[in-house]
Amino acid sequence: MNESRSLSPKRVVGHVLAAGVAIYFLIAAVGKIWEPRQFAMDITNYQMVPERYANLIAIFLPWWEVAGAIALVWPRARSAGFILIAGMLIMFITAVSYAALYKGLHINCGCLGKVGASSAGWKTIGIDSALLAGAVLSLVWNSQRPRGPSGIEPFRAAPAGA
Amino acid sequence: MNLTSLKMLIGILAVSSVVAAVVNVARPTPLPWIREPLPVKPPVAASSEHVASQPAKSPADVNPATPEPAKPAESGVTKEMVLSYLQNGTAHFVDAREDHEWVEGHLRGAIHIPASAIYQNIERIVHLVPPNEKVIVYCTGGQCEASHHVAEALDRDFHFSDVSIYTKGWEEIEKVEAFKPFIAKGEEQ
Repeated sequence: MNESRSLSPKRVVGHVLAAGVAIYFLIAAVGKIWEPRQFAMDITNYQMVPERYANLIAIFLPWWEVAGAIALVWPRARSAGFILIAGMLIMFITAVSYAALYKGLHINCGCLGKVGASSAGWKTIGIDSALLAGAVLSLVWNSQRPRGPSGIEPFRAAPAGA
Repeated sequence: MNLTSLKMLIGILAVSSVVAAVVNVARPTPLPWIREPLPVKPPVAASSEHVASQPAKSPADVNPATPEPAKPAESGVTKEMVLSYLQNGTAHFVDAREDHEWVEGHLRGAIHIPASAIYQNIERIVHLVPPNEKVIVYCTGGQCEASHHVAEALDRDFHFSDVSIYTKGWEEIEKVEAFKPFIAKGEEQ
């Protein structure tokens, strides 16, 4: 095990950020999985997708959140998890911006499902932006190659046959 | 993004989608894959909208003593009708506003189902009110959407057959003196 890899402060912070984002997404997903009808209604209220498809989103999206959260903290799937999480966060930010800020709808954000009801608005956009920033930093800091004490990347033996 | 990440992403989406579908099918009451929009509502008086499939009962049907029965064509829920229902106990009231608004004041005997947590609180009505009895939903009044959401859920998902919306809602209740004896405050349910 490379000691410099495990002790790098940025790497530690990266893991903490990834865990934080993952936990938030898991909590959010549990509420939606528990009460998909409420979530379907919340989706309908955004007036962005045809009402017919609100149930499909309510059925699948929470499980994508679960999958994204697990993948974000699983080293082999971190990049895929990041794409999934970042994609959903960008979608959420766009939806809230459009519905609450542009159209001026006073609607429940549906962000945390059963766990906590809050209005869609600037606060939601702030939380989602912070989560997006956390996910980006966790990916960047966990993807950096470890460097030696002098700041020079440690020597790695070429794989056999290279 | 490299090819491995893309393959991993597709795999994750596929597995989670299968899990989602299985969980939904395994629910006691699965969520329909397609959400069918409710039938178009019949035109009603400006003060209310009737959301149930059955036509609204006129006050005369419910309470023969009502001083000014509304005509069937004007089946909107007016303050006179609300007062009549309150006095005679012939309808159930649902307050669709949020917790802090409910605590500040609500109709005595109303059932609190905030629009932001309908399904979390739905037991408050489904175990108390037979689905064929008259239910009137109100929220703040004016442009508030909460009563529409709650009424739609009662109609669509819990098959309440006689759900109406008192559109002028709390704004009017607060202003009209005759409502004062029917107003309660605090968390009393």
